[in-house]
Amino acid sequence: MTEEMISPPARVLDSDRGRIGRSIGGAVRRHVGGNVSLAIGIGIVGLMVLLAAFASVIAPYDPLKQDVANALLAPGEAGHLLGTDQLGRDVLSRLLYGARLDIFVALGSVIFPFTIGIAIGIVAGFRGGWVDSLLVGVIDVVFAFPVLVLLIALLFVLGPGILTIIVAITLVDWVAYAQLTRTSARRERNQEYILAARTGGIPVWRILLRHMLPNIIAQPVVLAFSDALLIILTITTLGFLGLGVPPPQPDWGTMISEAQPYLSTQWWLGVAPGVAIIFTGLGLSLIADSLAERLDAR
Amino acid sequence: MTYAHFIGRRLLHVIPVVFGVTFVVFWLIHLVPGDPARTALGFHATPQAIAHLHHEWGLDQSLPAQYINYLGRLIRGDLGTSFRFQDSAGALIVERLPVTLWLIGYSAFLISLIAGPLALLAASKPGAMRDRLVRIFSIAGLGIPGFWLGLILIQYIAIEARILPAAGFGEGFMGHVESMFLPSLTIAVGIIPLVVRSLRAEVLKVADSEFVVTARAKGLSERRIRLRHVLRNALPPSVTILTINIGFLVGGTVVIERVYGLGGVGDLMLTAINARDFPIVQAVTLFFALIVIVINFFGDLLQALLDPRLETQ
Repeated sequence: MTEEMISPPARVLDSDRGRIGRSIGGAVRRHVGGNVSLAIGIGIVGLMVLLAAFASVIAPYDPLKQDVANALLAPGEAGHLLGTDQLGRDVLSRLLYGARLDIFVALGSVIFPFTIGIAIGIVAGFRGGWVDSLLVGVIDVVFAFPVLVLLIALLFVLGPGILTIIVAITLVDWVAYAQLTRTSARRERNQEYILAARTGGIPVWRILLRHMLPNIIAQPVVLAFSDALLIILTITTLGFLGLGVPPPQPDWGTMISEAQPYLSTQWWLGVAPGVAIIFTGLGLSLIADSLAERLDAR
Repeated sequence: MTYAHFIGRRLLHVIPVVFGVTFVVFWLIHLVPGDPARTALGFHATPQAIAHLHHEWGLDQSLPAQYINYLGRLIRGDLGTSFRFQDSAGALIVERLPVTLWLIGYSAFLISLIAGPLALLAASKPGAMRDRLVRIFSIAGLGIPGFWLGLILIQYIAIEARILPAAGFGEGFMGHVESMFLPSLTIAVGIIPLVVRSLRAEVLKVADSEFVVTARAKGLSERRIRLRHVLRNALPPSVTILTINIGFLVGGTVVIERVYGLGGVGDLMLTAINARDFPIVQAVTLFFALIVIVINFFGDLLQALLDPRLETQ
């Protein structure tokens, strides 16, 4: 028997079907509607990732090069598409390199909590007993802290830098994945396909990895997308507070912070990085939302 | 099972969490790479000064002894002493408490005021245009950084349009209501999308339950069913939804106090970080966690008052 046959049927009835109306047109609209927002989301995030990856090729200027004689130029002046900042640095180039930095840090800050949280959650949920009780205690304690406050405190003791941001976020964020995975693992462990696999003498690590994980991975994946959005907001917030990536490295939050004195006269200095954050956030949010909706329909 | 029993049981659950939180905050100082005393005093500190600080912070004792000492000081109400101001951390926090509590309460109020009707509107006809519009707004709203929105609101609402004050806490109750509106709104906007989404799902779940079908079969008017049956039963879970997001809300105050120049507890934390004032950072971190625990505790109590079935679970 293949593993697929042991697994429970993946798709049951669409619970929303009765409510939305039974017309074919409604079903098509709903189906395509979900696909469209997912496609737009993937398009936006894909575009941002490409811009970030090829920042060094696309950026017209060196993002760190100061040119005080040409400071605070308006968009379009002297070949600067989005103008220059207070030190004469090209805003577009800084935005692109900022994308590289923020998206790279966000990616690292999602992958580690995702992997660690799922690994701990699945083992604790499957084993139960004191391991599980301990995990629940740790989750309760970490959730008692406002995320931002704990992150600021951790960055304070660990010191500034890209690596410490990723470490601090991992220390705080893994519990979200662990909690989700633990709940699923507890639900799945008494399912027949798991019992069958255990009876068959398959080693536990293999049961968890090959049998259980594929059945419970969907929820953490959806969480990862909404989490990536929150992490980008967090990283830029830290940058704004001067606790993020140390200058002169361009980060969207730091750019907004530096633009504060010029908002009345050179508003684009503050608006451009804000729009970049909102645009990236919109993409991630669209992906998370359409994936969550598809999951619900299961 | 009486309500007093319920309160007692919730308290029993809260106590280990409080201990865990104090342990994390205690442990923070040991996460400092190298010698925390040297980091705090700077690299030109004399060995005597470092030894003195070691002794003052109890770093020359064993870890369990340090933790017991720390707990003992906390129980006596001593949150630590500021490094720079030579003032007790407790006094510094209490002084700035009104601003932060106002911000938390006011934004929670605005969240309920805006998210509640939006969720009901969306849930009143799932899949319809209004539902989609609400959904689009919450998807788009989720990605707006609070500090950025704050700066934009200050620039265009306060400075250019002169509708509301740009900064400060204001004088008297009405002054607070006016001055704290923009900061509270800024925090609320970040949380409303999360709340609307869960609230909509909760209302739909209630609307799908059997007692609603029964009410409809009895021939009650749709209006009565919505107000007396659906809304009444969606109220307890909405308290949970609000308290689940309270961590975001409280974390938001730290940034927003800075943006709007409000000297609250969050601002104290950021100032202390710039001054490398370790005891204050530690005290404020503990304080914020306790705030979240207390709000969650009262949220649970309120929820059980609204839905007595929960007492027995």
